[in-house]
Amino acid sequence: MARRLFAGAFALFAALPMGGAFAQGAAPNGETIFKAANCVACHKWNGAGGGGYGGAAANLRKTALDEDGIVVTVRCGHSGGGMPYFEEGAYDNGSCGKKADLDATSMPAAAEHPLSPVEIKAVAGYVMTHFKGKGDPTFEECTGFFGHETHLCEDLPKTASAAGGAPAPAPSHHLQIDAAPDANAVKKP
Amino acid sequence: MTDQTTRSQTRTSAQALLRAMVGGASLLTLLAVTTTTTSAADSGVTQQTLEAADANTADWLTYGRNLSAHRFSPLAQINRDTVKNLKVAYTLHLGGVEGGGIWTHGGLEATPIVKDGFMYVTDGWGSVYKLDLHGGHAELAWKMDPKTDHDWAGAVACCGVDNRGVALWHDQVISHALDGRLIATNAADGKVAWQRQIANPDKSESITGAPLVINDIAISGVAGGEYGIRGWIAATDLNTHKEIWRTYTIPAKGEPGSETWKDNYNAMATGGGATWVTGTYDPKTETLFWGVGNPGPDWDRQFRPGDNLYSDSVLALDVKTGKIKWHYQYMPNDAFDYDGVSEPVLVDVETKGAKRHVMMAAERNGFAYALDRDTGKFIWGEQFVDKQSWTKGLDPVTGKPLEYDPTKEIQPYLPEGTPSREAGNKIVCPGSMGGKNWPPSAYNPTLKLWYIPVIESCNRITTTEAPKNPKLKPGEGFTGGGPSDPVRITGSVAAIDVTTGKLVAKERTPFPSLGGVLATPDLVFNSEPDGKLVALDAKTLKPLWQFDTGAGLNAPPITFSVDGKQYVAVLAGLGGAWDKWYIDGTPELKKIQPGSSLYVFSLN
Repeated sequence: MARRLFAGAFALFAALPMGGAFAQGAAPNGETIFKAANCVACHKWNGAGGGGYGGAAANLRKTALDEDGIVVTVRCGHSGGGMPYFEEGAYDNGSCGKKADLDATSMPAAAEHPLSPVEIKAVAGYVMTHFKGKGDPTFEECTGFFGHETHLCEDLPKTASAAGGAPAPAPSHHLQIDAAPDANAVKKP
Repeated sequence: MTDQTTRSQTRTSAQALLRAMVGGASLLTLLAVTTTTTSAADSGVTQQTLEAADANTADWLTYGRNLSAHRFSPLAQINRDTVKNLKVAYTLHLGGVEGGGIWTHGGLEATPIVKDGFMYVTDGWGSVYKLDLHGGHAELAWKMDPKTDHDWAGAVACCGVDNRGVALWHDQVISHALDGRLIATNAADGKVAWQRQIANPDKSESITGAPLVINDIAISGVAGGEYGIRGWIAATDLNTHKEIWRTYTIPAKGEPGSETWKDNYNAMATGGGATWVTGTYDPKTETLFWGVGNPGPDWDRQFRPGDNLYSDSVLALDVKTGKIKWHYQYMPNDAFDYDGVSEPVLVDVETKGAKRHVMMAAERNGFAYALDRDTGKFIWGEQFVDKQSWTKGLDPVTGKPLEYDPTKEIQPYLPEGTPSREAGNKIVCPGSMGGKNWPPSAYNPTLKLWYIPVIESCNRITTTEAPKNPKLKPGEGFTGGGPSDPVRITGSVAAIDVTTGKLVAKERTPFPSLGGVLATPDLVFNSEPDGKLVALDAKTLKPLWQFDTGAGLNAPPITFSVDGKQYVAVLAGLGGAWDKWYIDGTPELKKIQPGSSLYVFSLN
């Protein structure tokens, strides 16, 4: 299998505004949900996913799914994979499948905190507008996501417009470690 | 000197005065007490101090309490009879709970270091806190915040926002930050004296272990075995601040051990071998003992045919040069992520019919090992987990798994319990977390019992083929698969009689031991992740006392005395790998909220 998502509901400790809160106010913010529901833990800040201790998460920048497909994936998780399901009771009410048809090797894990239908739609919309079909992540995208300076963004290329019309070379802080020589190197005669 | 320090020293002097007056001491005695208390507060820890740590009953001077990692204190006011009266003496809330990178929050894993009534602890981001414990409560003397770049370091930390504590050296506190720095802080005022970048997060290297200070050098290990690093152990001269040696745990081409990587696409370049748990030291032979973690990729061993030295091994190093004196590999051609990083416990004991210099380690693979620490020769091995599915057992002469065949490129471990590319999902026991993970063991030298904090686990491993010559970006894992946890995980504390190498007692617990154990003459303290600190009888391991901190314990308990009174202390705050990667095996622990606090107990 090319992509194997890790199983495991995530400990979700950030203050996650739950269904009701959004229903009373403005439309839910997809980026807020992407961060608070801890999508970032596996799909990374840029949606590129890739490896982690639990295996590789899908690259949302290269997803072939449309918005409805992403909504289904968030609602139901991945059977036999690591993506948890975020719709409360999705395997009790049969909207994603029946528990009876699944075993320990195929049942997706439940998310630590479920998301409401509008929240799921908002985070799917965020994936569509911010990740799907985008090329390599940029410096501006990174600083925009974190909202503060971090070395994490330093080596990313700046976009042409930000660099004044021409693509700027990637900044390189290239950390220098003044390491001692290999203690067990075989001495050349 | 900060205002806080001045205040605390004034208070200390006042207390000494009060004590002296109550005791009817002469003015001369009074002055002596006051002077000693003030100057001793930050007086230096030297190599002699550390080698004499056993005789210093009051303090906890180094990570394993002594350089042999016994985690045994002779203090006995709190004993089998009195432990029922153990109560919270004081608590203190710390910081560092904030998240970063791929982590929602930090946790506390540090072993507190105590000297002359002052405690030094760290939070997961590497902030160091000096606490004044005089007067029966904890007061912050200073906090050194290394301003770790959370998103940068947190993006390359496989297993949590973790830091396991400090080392003391003369008038400085030596510590690590997750972003790969070694930092020396003035013990008196909390100002950073100097710092040095030793690990590179741009190569997915981070540091979580406590430094070990030996002979004016700081020894540091690296984390990152899930990201295709090439592991190392580095020694920094604390006088010149220069690195004096660096020993790589994965050989370079042509170096001894490189013949155990039999591929033709340079798998050694991403060979792993992290060194993320603090080692131990034998001053008699000037030898450092340090465990080495899993090979990379973790699970896809078909990517790396051969034994993959020095992954999953213990190394004996010349402390002056870093040269490898001997090695012993627990897990050739690992398919399980069974790191060999557990702390090497050093004991001189009669075992298997002879007086021996022994090194013991209880490993992730579910077996405890005793080696002759002068030669690296196997003495005995013992299974300490209830369930183990990957081998028929250890060879009684070599200690290698019975299936081990040095002529084979892929080791024929039991197919029913060994994951592979072909097998797809496989339930493996112990699970990839072990057996035993970093939480440290303890050794009672009188009873000659060795206590192991055990994770009784199985988990599901999915192995996938790792890409050849991967162009890995920082934080991009190189694991060749991943774990999931559909099977209930519990725990235990196991006791091994080191004179026979046999398991002699076991106390099973509802949750795995994720913080480690402490031994006193007739007690064992165990940190449990649902928040309970439990005292067990040292011989029978029957529980005698417990306290629920209401927070997850993810750090080892210690004991010390201040002004003649014994205390037990533990940091509370569940973080680390567990609540991201393994929580489904212990669903009740999902209720545990992030926290960051110190609990200190005493009899009255």
